[in-house]
Amino acid sequence: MEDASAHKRPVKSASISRRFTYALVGVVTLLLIGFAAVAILINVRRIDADLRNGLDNVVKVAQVSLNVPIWNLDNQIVGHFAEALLLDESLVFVKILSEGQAIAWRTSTKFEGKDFPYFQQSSQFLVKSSDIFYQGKNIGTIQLSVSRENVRKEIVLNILGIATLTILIIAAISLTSIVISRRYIARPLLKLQNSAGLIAGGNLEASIDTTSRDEIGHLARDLNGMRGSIKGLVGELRESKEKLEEYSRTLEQRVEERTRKLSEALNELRALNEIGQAVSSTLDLPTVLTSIVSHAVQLSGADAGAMYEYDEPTEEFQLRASDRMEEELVQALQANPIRFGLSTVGRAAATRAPVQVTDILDEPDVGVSRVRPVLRQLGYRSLLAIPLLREGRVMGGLSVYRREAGNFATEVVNRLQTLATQSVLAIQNARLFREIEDKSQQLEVATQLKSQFLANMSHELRTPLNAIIGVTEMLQEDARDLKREDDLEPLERVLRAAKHLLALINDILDLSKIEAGKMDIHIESFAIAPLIEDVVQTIGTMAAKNGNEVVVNCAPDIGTMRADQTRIRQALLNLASNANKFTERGTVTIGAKRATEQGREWVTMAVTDTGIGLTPEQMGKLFHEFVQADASTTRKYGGTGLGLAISKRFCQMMGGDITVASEPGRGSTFTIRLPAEVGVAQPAAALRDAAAPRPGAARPTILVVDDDQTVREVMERYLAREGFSVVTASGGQEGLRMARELHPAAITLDVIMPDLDGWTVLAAIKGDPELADIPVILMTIVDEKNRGYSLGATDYIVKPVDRHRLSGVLRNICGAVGRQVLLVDDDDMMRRGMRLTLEKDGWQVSEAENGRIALARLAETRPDIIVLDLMMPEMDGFEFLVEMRSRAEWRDIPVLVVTAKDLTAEERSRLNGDVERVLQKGASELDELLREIGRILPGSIARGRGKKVVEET
Amino acid sequence: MKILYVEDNDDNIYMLENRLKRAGFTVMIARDGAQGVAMAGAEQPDLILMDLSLPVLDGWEATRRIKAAPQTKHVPVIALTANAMTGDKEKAMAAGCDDFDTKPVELPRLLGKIQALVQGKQAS
Repeated sequence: MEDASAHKRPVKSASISRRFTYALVGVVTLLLIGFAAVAILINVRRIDADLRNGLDNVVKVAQVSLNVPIWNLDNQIVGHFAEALLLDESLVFVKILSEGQAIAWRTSTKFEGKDFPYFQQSSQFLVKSSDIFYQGKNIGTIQLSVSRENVRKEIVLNILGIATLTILIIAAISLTSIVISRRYIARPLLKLQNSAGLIAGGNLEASIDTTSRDEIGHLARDLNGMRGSIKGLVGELRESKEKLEEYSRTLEQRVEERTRKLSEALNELRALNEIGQAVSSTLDLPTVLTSIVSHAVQLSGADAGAMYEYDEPTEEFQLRASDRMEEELVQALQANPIRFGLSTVGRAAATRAPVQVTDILDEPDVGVSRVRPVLRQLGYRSLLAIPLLREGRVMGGLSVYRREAGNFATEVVNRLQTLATQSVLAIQNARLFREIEDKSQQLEVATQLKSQFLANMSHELRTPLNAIIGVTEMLQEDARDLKREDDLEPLERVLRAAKHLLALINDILDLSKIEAGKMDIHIESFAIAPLIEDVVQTIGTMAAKNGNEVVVNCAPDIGTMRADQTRIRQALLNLASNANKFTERGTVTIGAKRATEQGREWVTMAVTDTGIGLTPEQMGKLFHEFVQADASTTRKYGGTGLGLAISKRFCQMMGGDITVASEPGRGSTFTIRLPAEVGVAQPAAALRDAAAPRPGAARPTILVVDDDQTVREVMERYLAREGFSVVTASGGQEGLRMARELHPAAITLDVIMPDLDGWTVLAAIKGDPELADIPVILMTIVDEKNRGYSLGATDYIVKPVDRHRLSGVLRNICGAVGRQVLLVDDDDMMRRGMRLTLEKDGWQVSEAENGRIALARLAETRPDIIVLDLMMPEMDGFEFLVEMRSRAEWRDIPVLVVTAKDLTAEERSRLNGDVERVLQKGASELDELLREIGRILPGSIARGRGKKVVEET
Repeated sequence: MKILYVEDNDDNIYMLENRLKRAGFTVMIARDGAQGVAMAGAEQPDLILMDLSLPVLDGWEATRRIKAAPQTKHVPVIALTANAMTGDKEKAMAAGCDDFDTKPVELPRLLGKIQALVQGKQAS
């Protein structure tokens, strides 16, 4: 504002008109003064000259008039003449001399007595002395003096007049010039200035006086023209601005629109996801359906919703779930099942397409459900029904109700249709699940009944056996006491038969215990050699009977092992007696040895015979309960047919197994393989032998070279989360320098960089013997794979980078990323398979055979994730979870359950919230399961401990 | 030394009663749990062999009562059962039995347990 006012009102001295006036007046004044001075000078000269001329004329008159009187000596006349001359006031002295004698001497009264020299000396007087001649003869002299006094007065008057005139003229000119300059210059200029000021101030409509024809007029017209241009420009600017604003408004609207759509899509996705989770986590149909309805209501912005299941036989829709519905309406819907083809839902089903009622009030109450009045009464106005179809078959209907009349948007209809599809799946799943659950419950009941039956039966069988054996033993004692040797042998038979029966019962009981998961194993330390010796002793008699030689092949210093001694003895005895049973006049070799495999110590005990051997088919059936290689063998060779199956189960419970190799006619070898330390943590050294990197090894360093800061940041964050240590370089030079300094495990390299491009960097790395071994992954938008590979790149990823692929590549390169997984499973095969698969993916794997050992492992190192079997000896998965979750430091370790068990609803709910996922063993091929585990694990860690159990079958 | 044998199966009674007598014990028989509790109080045996599945009162309940009564609580009880399922032993011990043995009875083993309990009692 200050600038503007300064602009409008220039300081006084800067005023053009004022300057013009000053200049004009100055020049005029100088000129006039000059003229006046000249005029005065001329006048003075002229007056002086007049005075002199007058004096000269007086002299001449005197010369003419006085020559005669002087000649005549007529002094009187001369005196009169002199007096007459003095009548002229300016003449102050007259002296006429003749022959040196003053004949007349007159002075004005003022200068009485003064003589000629007095006047001569004063500049105040003009003097003249002239001779008078008569007839050529000098007869006298006349001396005259004129006073300049009178003349001076005249001069002063003259000067005063001229000066006055000059001043008047100057004043007149000044005034005129001021008036003119004001009127023709200053005022129009000021006006123009004001106009310009107003224009500058933004008022483009300010008036400009363009009437004047002078320069200012031109200026005004030019200004006017300029204003026109400015107006045009401003107009254009304004237009552009408006366009811009309009554009930005549209853009904003579009962005808003897009954002809204995105958020809607997101909501929809979220809803679908939640439904999906509800579907997979509960499988409880009402819960799932309620979840779907509630999401449907939410997504459609409706006020209430309902889900109906179609009952084909009755052709009716039954209300299955509702959301935000009044009790009254729910009751009405339940009381009046919708008929197929009738009402909105029925019509939707019949037409197999969404049906909507935009305003209930507009529709007559004809052909609609009896629920309609209730709807109306509750203030509902519009409704939308979506049929639930599966392969063209009507499964049910989904409907939403609004208190507002009007159409449902196409989007809403589409969204609900998606939900409907999901619901169909949910219903289908839940139905299937219900069936499975029913069946598994039946199965469970059956299993329980079987176990109970076996237990009861064994009890009922044992009770009489108790008497039989006891009484027989008594009788034997009696016979011995009474020396009735003949009675001893039959009593021995009775006793043997009774004991065989008891063995059978015991085996059956064992099996049922194993099946019911109630079998305990008792781990203890024992020496191996005596155990072998014991078995050899026990079968000695039997071997002798079949003419077999028993060979022991066991180093005396084989040492001890930790396992269930009784069960191992039982198993070994079983194998040895079998070998004897099926071998005649041959050799039975019982051997034991120790070996380290996969970083673990194992004890193998092998029983080799030279008997009848087994066909591959027989071998396949061998370990199954109640199956002997051949049914006839039972009759011929005796035995319960359960021994092998039970022995194998026991060995598996201890983390080992029994395997067989055989050739028909040549003999068989049965091998028991057990960990030397059942249920004890692997020594740390064992881990180091494995392919996995050392526990606690430093995270591998990845050097990310990219000039884009965002890329660097994103990569840093992502790779750090994936377990890598990340360093970044913003250019090729820096990248090379850091590669030399840090020698990273791998480098990801951008190609297009300002200072040194990726090709050059790659070539430099590969050309440097110290760096050449560092794997380089090119990451670029430039798709020149061949060039990259030919320069020595390990991999080539085209941007945008698929992170999973990148981390996969990096894992392959780095071997592991410092992630640890604990495998808890009593199945050795399963563990081995998982270990191999996961180690390939770069996991650090540790194992535990049961929950108790797993807890010990946890105490050693905290894994990133646990893969847990549920059915395990000693401590099962459920117990383990309870134990683990009770400890704050382990509570949040994610757990993935892999089980062969059919989970009951109760078990499922026990797992819910405690584990990430449940994978079913046996549902797919082992390979596939392993791959699946490898695929799921990283995500499960990333998600952290979730609250959902997701069933994978 | 008096042993009270609580058992409902005649064959088993015949067998074990005879064998225990041969081993030198005085054997009294109760044929159900209630009788067992009554006889334990009346006869004050040195030891009780308790079958678990018994009529009227089962072996667990009978043992509990014997162990709850001041005049019988000091008498050692060995549970005897043909039920070899896991849990039977625990249940028996929880009911107050001092030891446990399975049927069919291995006489030397049972005698060993009887010996241990009676001697232990005498020692204390």
